[in-house]
Amino acid sequence: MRRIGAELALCLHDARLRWIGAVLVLLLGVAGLGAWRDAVRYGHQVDAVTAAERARWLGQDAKNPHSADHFGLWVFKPSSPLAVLDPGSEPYTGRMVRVEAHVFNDAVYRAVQDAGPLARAGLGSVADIVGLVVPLAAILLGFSAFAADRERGTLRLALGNGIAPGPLFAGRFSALLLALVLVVGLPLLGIGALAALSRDAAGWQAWPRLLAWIAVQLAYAAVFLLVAMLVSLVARTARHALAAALAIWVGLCIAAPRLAPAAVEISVPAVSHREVRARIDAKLRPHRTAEANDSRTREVLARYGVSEADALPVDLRGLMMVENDEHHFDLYDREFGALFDGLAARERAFAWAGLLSPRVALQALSQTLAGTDFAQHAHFVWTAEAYRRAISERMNAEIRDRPQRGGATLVAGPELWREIPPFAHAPLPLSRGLADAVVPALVLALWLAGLAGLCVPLVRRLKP
Amino acid sequence: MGASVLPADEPVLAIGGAVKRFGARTALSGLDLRLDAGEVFALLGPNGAGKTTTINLILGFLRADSGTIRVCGIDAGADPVGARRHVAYIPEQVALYPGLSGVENLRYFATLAGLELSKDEARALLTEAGLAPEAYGRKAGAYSKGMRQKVGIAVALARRAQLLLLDEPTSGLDPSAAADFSATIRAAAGRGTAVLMATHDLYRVREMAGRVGVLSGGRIVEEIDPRTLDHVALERLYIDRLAERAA
Amino acid sequence: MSAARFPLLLAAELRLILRERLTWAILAALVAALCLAAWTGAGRVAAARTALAAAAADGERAVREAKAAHLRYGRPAAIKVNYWQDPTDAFGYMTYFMAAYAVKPPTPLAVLAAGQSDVQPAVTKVGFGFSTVFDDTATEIGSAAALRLGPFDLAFVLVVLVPLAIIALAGTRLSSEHDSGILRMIAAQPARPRRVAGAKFGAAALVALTATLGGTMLALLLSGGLGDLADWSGAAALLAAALAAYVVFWVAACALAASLWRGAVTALAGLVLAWACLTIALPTALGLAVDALAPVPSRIAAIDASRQAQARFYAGEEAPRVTAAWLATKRPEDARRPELADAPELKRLARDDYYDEALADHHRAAGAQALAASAWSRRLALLSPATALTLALETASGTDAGRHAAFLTDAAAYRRSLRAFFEPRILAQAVDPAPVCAGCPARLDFDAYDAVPAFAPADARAAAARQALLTLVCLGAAAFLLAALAVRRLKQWPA
Repeated sequence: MRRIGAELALCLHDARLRWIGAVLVLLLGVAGLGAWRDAVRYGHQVDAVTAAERARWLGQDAKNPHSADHFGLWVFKPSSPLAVLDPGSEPYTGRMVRVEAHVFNDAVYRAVQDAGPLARAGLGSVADIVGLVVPLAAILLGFSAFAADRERGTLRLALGNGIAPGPLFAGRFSALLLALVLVVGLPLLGIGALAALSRDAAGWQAWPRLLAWIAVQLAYAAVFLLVAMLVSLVARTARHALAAALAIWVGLCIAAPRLAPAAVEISVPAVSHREVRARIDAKLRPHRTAEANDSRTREVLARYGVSEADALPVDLRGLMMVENDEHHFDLYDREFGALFDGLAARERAFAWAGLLSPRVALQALSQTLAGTDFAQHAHFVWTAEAYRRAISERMNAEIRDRPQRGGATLVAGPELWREIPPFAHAPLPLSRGLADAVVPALVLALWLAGLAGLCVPLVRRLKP
Repeated sequence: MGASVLPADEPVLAIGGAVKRFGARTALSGLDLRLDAGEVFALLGPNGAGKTTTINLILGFLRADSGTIRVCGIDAGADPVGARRHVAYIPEQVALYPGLSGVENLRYFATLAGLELSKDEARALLTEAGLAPEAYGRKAGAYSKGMRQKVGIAVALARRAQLLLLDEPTSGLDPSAAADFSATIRAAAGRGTAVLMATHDLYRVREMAGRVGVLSGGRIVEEIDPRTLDHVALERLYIDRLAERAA
Repeated sequence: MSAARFPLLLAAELRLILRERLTWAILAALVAALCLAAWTGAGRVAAARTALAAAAADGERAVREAKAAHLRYGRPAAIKVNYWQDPTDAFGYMTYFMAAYAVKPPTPLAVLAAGQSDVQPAVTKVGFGFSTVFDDTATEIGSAAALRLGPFDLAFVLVVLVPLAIIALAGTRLSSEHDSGILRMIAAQPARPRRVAGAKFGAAALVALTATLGGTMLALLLSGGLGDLADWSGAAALLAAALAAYVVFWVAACALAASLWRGAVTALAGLVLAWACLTIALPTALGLAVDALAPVPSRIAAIDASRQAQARFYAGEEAPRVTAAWLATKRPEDARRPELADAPELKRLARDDYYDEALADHHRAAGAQALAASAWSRRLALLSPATALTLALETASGTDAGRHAAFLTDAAAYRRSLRAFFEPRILAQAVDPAPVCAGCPARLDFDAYDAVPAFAPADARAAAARQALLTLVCLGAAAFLLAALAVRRLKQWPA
């Protein structure tokens, strides 16, 4: 411990740490506060429009329940409070769904559509900065750990005077990691705490998520600290160590992450959204024709053993709408189920693609812990669809169970509208996130263990 | 190829009253030196005496604050490239491209000097410089210091330079390589090349140089004919001169 | 002794650079990356073509099936055909059967850059439902993780990786010779530093240019993703020149770094940091600037406005009143017929106009923002060589934001033209229904399926050539500036 304290004191006196810390705090602060401000503003808009939509639903005139079903409403995806730190999948997935009769509408208006064309690849979010700049900071802190001493000759002096390389390495690594905790962990904790305290975090388990998330970011930083120290163990001079570590940074943080999508696309084929939509349309078309409708009508009358609609104990239109929707639900479950399963399989494959680069593993792990992963989006989409179905089922049942004779139309009023509860979306619990996080956490741990394992023989045979 | 013919009275190197200061420190304080074709002159002096500054001035890497440096009649300060046409330089550590062979390195440096050497010509020059034939095709990264120096000499030979500048040529050479090198330099002088060498090596100086100048405090404090002294006497004289200067 | 002749020097430097194993490793990696990127690009273009073909086939299918229905329903039958089941009715066909698509076909150079194509679908089915809140409602959900990491396309390799390859190739020329002491040997030869540096960086530039342009060409040919370049040769040539200027820019940056004489590793570290600034940090800053200059209007406000309009329309007697008022502007002579104000198709047409009017300001703001964002991006992109080249590549690929904004505007105009095509027919049918055969189940008032206007995609060629030229000029000027600075500093050898 005393050794770590001494190394940390050395580190804290280094102007480099102050500079790196200042730049990181500035970058993280600007990105984090900007995201927090946008999230708060957006949250207020969503709350206002959700309340307005509820009022519009309840305030509808008396009308046929099916018209109310068509009137529908919009529901909005609640954003995880930690999206301020890691927006994850959220910018790339729709944020709102039009809930209406018959149609499984897509979640639309992805934030990425509104982002300018220059904003796509860069340092837009706190997670991007952690993914790209924190490794650079770890490298800049760690590259000189042994190479500079070797260059000055002090390493020869230290080893020649009986200082054991193992504890020396462990002390330096621990001190630098503590320094990183200081310049990375604390700002992240500050921004995360602000987000968790100021935004509606009900159901998100924000604090355990935040602590786990920060631990993962620090583990990622430790990977690159190990890279820098590994290079430092073998490089002749500090400058060589820096050049080599920078080359590794470019490879692992810039080039390899782009290879991951190509690798995943090859290894996990998935149907496209367009194909699924086309298939659903193709299957619905024959179902919608007048002839099909006629044959279904006759089948219903035969089932009840009557020859005309007015003789039925239920309303024919209502019953047919119920059965029609059930047919649609089955089709949607099958087709969209396959689409979402395929997309989820691809997301899972990205965790394994983390073997290409720790940045890819971090992305998978980080968004899962932040509650901004694709599983949360899919959960929202299906919750919205379930809500839509619940509305349709209630409206259809109302029509079915109140048969109108002689071509009259049922008119319902506010008491029926009130039976529909407001849309409530409970996010997937952290326990589910932790289960999904096993593979990317394992991959990140493999990176750490692999690098640490490489360090061991080099430390043992440390050359002055 | 081929060197220009000098007028009879024009020395290969003429330094007159050269002064060079680096901030408050004076590196050369009025250096005078004249070197004719076929002469071998050794500049003896401790570290910081101004040996390397002298070589840098001749090569035109530095400009003198006052005084003249003329190489074959060309002012090295005003026309460094013109002066360098007549100079070949062999630094203390001859650095070559490690991935190229001796032949390839020689051809490369010859090209920089505006010459086109065929492989056979390059091999002949390396032979003339004393490099063993089995080393021609080997990567220069595996060469010893002596072998690299021989490639440096081959570059000088290729260029038919009239002035050869040697910076600590024998430091780090084993005795046999150093003797080898002395012979090569004497041969070059025999062909009419003027040689200026900056060195600490009193033993080799006696073997190679026709004239020795003791450089101290930025100028030549004594010029000696080494053939008149054995190397013990030469060493005593050198130490005495430096001690006088220091006092 | 003659002064070193430059072509000889250049040839010697070329031999030197080509003798290095590192050179071949870099070139092999670069060509492999280019081939992989071209392959992914070809896959993307093939998918886009498939989507286009599927859209065209769907359009034909809709017409074919409607014609078949026309024949089928032209005979007496016992079934009842509602208007939403009737493709022989102008309103039924327009609303429920027509498969009209606005398409943004890939350009012959589309293989170069994914651009906005992975988030902005190039095929939009023109419909008349809730999708009219915004013009860009079409969405194709894909792998969010892949979108987040970005595609491995040629634009990425050319803009991001090629500079790194150049830095690895040329970033330590002269400075490594300085470190190893070879520079003293070189400096002792009668050759001026500018000539030697010119030959060294000239050779590096030749190698980098050959590898980048040749490798790209080879990758494009192997991938089979290139379209017919007959009319695009000018744009392609300008783009190749812009790419060459980008390569020269980075070689000049290497020369400038060498001319500082701070050693190979410092030069390398400085170049990598400069690269990170120009390709990552500066584009991010420019993106933020675009956001500030062209702020995005609230989607939620527009949705709220659309819902307010919907709620108003369906409240009380508003729907028949709006329909009658609408009819009065279209057919004053029939406006007083009470049954028409309740006709579902007229109510729907009147309602859509009512919604359009309620959302007009939001529409205009969204369209203006998209155009302003693309215009600002175009201007600001020129401030970084990386964004300038990216934009040129995306424009040539037809995947740039500007083309998409224009496409959305064109798609909205197409939707209006379809509406203008059907509206008089629907009105005529409502006012004066066409006589049908006795016992025929359908309305049979529409059979002009082949006369329905088709979407005419805009030509992207002129924009591509213009952007490539602009990029060429900017990158050429930047490369010249860096080279001039390097030449100025390389007046003499370091002491």
